[in-house]
Amino acid sequence: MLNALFGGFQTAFSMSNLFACFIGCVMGTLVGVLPGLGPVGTMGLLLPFTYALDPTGAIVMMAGIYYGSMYGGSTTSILLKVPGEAASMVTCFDGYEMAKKGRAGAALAAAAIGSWIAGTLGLVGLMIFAPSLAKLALAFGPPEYIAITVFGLVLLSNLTGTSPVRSYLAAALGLFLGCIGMDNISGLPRFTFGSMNLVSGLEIVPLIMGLYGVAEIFAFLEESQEEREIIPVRYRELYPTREELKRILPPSLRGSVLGFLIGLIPGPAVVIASLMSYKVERRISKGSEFGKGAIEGVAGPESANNSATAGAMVPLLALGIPFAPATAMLISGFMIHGIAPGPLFITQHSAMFWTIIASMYIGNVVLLVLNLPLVGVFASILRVKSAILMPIVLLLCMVGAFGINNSIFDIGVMLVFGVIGYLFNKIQLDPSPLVVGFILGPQFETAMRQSLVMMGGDVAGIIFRPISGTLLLIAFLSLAFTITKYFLQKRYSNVC
Amino acid sequence: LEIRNLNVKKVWALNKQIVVFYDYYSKFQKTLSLYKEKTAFFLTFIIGVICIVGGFNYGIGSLPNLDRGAYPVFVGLIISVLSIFLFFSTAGEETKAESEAGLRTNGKRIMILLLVLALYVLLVNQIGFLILSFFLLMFLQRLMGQTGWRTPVVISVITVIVFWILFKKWLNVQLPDGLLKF
Repeated sequence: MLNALFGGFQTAFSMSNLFACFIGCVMGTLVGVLPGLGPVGTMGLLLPFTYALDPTGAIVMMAGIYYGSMYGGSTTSILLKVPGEAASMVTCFDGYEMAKKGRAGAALAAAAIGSWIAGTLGLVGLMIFAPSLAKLALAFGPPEYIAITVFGLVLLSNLTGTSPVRSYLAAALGLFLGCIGMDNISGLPRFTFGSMNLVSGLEIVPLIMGLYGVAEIFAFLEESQEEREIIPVRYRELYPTREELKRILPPSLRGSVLGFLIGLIPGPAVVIASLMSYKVERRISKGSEFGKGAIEGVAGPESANNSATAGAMVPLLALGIPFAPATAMLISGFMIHGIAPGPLFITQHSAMFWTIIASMYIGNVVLLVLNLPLVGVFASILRVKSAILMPIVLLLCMVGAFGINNSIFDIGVMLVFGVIGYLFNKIQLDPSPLVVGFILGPQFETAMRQSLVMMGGDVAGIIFRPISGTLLLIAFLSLAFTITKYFLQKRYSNVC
Repeated sequence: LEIRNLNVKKVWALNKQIVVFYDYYSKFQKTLSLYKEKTAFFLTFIIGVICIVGGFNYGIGSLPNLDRGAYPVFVGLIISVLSIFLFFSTAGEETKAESEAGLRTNGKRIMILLLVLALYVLLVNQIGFLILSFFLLMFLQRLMGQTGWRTPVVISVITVIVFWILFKKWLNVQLPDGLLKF
């Protein structure tokens, strides 16, 4: 394994890959700083920049963008109390308080150092878990894939949005959208309504850009815009004191382990990981300084969400199954460059796998080195008026959607999903289950039909296999628990 | 004089019709915003039904060899059942404050933006990326609250040229030339 990793580092240290990693981190942070545009939107927006690269370089750049945008989100949380994405919501609590006390630099440094520690440990976990899971997954047949999909979708829906039932609906709508286009088995079209553009199905990138980018611009148009006050950061403030450094380390280590384990579970892992870590840190420190600018409240959650990212990469790289929109975006990046992640990915594209691992590590170091001195530059993008920035973002989305197939139709798809995302927001439907449902749908259907043929039409045969049975049982119990809780809550609120 | 009178009457009648139509439209909009959740779940129910009907039309086959319509029927059933459940379980009317907030939102600007973007999609192949994107950016900046003309013009020119060089020349995206051929 160490030899393979060493090989990965050798490839990652090539000039072109280093450059891709560097540019990915810088662009990811720059766009991630914009409030509202989280990692998913940022990756969608910046995907076209990877078109000119070779597959390895492109994936390296995507990973850099992912990490960069996560870090950019924390910057706005600390300096503006506006979380750039849901995962850095927790950072607002203490980060902004620290900034108000004149320790913005130290808070940003704590986030960067915490993320670096977590990124490093998370990658060690990824190195250990992903190849073993992939080996195990080689024994998986179609019934197991059905079970994993059901398990992932149920857990994701239970954990996202305002109500699980709404999330189930979003997931089902995603499954339907996945039906559009050519049927995987018979090769005949479905729900294309006579349009040739729909025969190959909907593209994931315009769909995500619409739901996460364009919808955000619509929401922006609706709100009254007020000038934000950015807390200035001075260069000498950037370095935490020795005492602060001592306080950063333990929460970062705890956050890393917690985050990685949560990242393995399907669902909005990064958000849950940061919230859990905040709770743990508050309990450990007895809550005295928490909410008033405790550095532990920044370092812990920031580390947790970063290592959750690495954890979420395990099912992605080992099984080829994304359980969150951000990893779904990564997988579409893989596919655009002709790589299909799955159990065979690590063995067949071993060099690429280890290069990705190495470049993710390098990305963490680049972010640490880059972000601390340049945080002022990144924050200054917030000073540019939204009336100038938003139109450019919209045009970038349109060019990005167009660039996938050089087709105007994809821009139309993106705009339609922009409206859908905006309406989803109005009726409190989270789009994440829709995206994951859309990605997993075709694979799920193929697995379902193959399993039925394999079992001679015996549905019980799919359920009573050890791995698929266990996963389906967990999914069923989780579903039953959520539904019971929902009805009990309703009954209780009616009685009240 | 008679003709003029007739015209005035006609215009007046038309005007009245427009007023009546607008009245209906605003009532419809108000009802939509009051029942926005129910409307949404009704629409998702329709999607579910389309899915089921479409599935049956494609043919569902029989076990173990399912046809291409079986899966859409299965998904359509889930969508329909969940939509019916949500339709009946969401509150019929939102609170007054909520509906007023909904009405106060700036829906008009979004409609204008959508119309302009639809026009862009329709015309970009004929007119070309450079010219149309320049006007789009100018328009968007003004729509989003940028005042004056100098800044929007400068920003639009720079952005369009940078995008052209970056995407067309460097990243090989086939942005439409339209009227300007390079």
